[in-house]
Amino acid sequence: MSYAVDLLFGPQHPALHEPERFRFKVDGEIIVDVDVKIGFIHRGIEKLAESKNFIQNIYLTERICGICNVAHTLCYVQAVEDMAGIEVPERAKYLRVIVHELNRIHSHLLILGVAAELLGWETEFMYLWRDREAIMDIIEDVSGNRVTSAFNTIGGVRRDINNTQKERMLKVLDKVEKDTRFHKKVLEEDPLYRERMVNMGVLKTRDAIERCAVGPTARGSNVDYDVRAHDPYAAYDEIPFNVIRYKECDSWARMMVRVDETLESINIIRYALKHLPGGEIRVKVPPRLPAGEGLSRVEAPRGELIHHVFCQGDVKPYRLKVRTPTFANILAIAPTFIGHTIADVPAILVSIDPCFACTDRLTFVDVSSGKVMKLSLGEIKRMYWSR
Amino acid sequence: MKIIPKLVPTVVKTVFKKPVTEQYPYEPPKPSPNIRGKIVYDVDKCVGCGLCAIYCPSGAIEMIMIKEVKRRIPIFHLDRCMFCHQCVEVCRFGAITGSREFEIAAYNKNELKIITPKERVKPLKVGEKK
Amino acid sequence: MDLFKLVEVVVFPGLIYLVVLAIFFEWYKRKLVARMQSRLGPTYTGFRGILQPLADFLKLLFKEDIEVTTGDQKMLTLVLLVAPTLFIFSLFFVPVTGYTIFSFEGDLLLVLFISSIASLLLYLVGWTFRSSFTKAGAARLLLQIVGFDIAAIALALVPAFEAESLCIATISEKISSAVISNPLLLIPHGFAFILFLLAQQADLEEDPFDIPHAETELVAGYITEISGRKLAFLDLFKDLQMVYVSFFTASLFFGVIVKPLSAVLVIASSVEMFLKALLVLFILFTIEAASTRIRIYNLLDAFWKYIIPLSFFSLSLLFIIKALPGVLL
Repeated sequence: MSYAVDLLFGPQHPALHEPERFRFKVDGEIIVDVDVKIGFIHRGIEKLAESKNFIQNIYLTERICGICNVAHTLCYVQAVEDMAGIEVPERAKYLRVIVHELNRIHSHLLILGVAAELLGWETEFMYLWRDREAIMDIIEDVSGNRVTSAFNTIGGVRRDINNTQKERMLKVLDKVEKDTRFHKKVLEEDPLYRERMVNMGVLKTRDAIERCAVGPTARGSNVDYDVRAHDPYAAYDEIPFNVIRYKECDSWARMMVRVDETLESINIIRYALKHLPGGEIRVKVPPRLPAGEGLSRVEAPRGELIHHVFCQGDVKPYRLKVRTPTFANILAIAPTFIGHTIADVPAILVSIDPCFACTDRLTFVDVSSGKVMKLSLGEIKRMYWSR
Repeated sequence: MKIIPKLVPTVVKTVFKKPVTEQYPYEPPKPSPNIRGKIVYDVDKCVGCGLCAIYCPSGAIEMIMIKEVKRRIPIFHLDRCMFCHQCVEVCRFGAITGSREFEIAAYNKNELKIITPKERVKPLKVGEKK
Repeated sequence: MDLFKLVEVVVFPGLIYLVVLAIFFEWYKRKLVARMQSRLGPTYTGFRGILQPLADFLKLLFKEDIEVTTGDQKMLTLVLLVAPTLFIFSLFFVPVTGYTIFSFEGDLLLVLFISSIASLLLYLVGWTFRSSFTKAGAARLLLQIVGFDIAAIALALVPAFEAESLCIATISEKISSAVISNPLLLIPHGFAFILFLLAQQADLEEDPFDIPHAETELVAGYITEISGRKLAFLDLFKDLQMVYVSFFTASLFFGVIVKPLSAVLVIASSVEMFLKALLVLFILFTIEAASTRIRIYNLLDAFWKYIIPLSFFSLSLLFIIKALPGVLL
């Protein structure tokens, strides 16, 4: 006989940085069942995108996720370019890669810090974020803002990099590489961190493929899957880099994938800066685009990101569909909570780098018949008030 | 020796180093020279085409009609502005430019509007070359 | 004579001095940990933010006390009023200024007993509510007490046997000469000191042992439902615990070197004890800053499998070293 009680994590909880609910059935400290409830932070961005023109939507998609904003804009503009058949200049492709990788470094250092903080290791959190500040400074230098870079645009990029910026960037990258190597050593060898992370939330290679895990979550489970390498976009087909994989399949491996990817990203940026071709940075694009549809896949810091754009020959998209990596990862990781203790929940949850606000979508389903419904705002309001 | 946390030497060393905190309001900020800040509007160059208002993603630009001189000029609501500088990019006449100013907090929303006084707005001469 | 004792109890080195020390140590903790993390720490209130803990305490006193109806508020109030006084009472037996206000043979056991009671009172704080977070925090706290308390008591006996007394004042007087006269004693002494620090770290609930109020797991553990004045007194309780732990450890393992015979010497020896307490806290906070939180099972593992056997081992090592000259001669 089990004495399982419900322990609710969220919607508001210190371990969750966005509102989402996890209902754990716990027997003492051991988790026996988990129920993930997403949908607390639905924002209706896909619907909003239908009422804005293509240029405005760049800035809207940028705000789907603040941390991987470059991945979102890149994916969106690539989808639009795919739809309209626009060819991007070579230099713009390289510049896109540089900012995309800077964004990846900043995102990975951020989540490593957050992971440390969730394990009660404030010092490592402070150190990681201190070292991340240098990257934020060069993102600001290159794009004009620390976080929302607004760098990509349809047909190219909005800003160019000059030689002084290049010098400054290389200098900062050296420092960041040194710091990251220090943190790699610490995270690899620290006994207490290993105690908390090793063998937590083991997602076996087969399960990872079966449950469609993407990004560092999949690569931490030894799945050789990286959109940059297997379906190259921008200038990734010309840049040599390694796909990082770890065989351990646990939380620790997923975090170490991020550390190694940070080092790999630094090398990619160095290569791209060295081989930066000359020429134009953008081509002119008319506001009204031909009818069609476009799809783009991008390796965001959290995993594979898909944008799908439909257009009916208008200045606005007819439909924009976004598939974010967290949606794939959270369903992959949820069963691995079972058997661990309450204390391990943050350690497992943080290892997929969850971004719930990007994930939430809304569909009305009649529970009794299982039918999917379409409701207007008026109907929703009427149903709400006639409860 | 395997149970000693790896950070112990670093932690002790850091006590004797200078903290990295920047006490921002008490110390001058050090933004990059390339940052996108508050926008600057030049009414003399503007023709009132309204492209900035069409392309503004956050609806921060409102076009108003000035009846005395029979032309439209934009009002910038900086409380809605998100400093993407799309208007700067889209303006063909160089009437909107970016600046480095970013400290624009105010107690009142009305302080954050860029409104050109009516006296400054001159009538457009049709056919004049810019 | 009685009036003098009263002044001692209330002002120096009694109640007021101890509360001032508690507030200072809280500031020291915040500042030191901030500097370890390359931050600034409190800056604005007073010289380098030294009054910040006092300001926080006063602010909490004026805040609204949100009383949870499912909790036993009378019990909670009683616990929070009694708990801080326990540490003040036990500090009367500890040579905070080089001499003790009260002292008798065997007061070491009394002080250890009182500190255990104080930890158990914290458990009552969590148990008075029906929230699952406070319940889980209280259960973890109880497990933690079971882990470290036996080790702490066994290790506190090491200096007691070295100085051949169960009175804290006598131990602190004799400990330095006892160790110097037989340098072999340094081995169990140092060994016991490190293990005792770990046990005290668990008592203070600092990283890596901040399991009962683990923020990212249990919100604030047993403190979750407390607010306002009650939270202020709980904070004062934790600060006084810090004072108790630092001075108790310093007097047991470092001893008092300057004998407080005259008024000037009292000041000198209280400065000496103060610096030793700061040193003890520095080590504790270094451990706190450098480590992650561990799980409750790891804690029980660590204490029951390693630290408790090691503490009895150091006790027996001490006996062997003590008995060795007698056997050889």
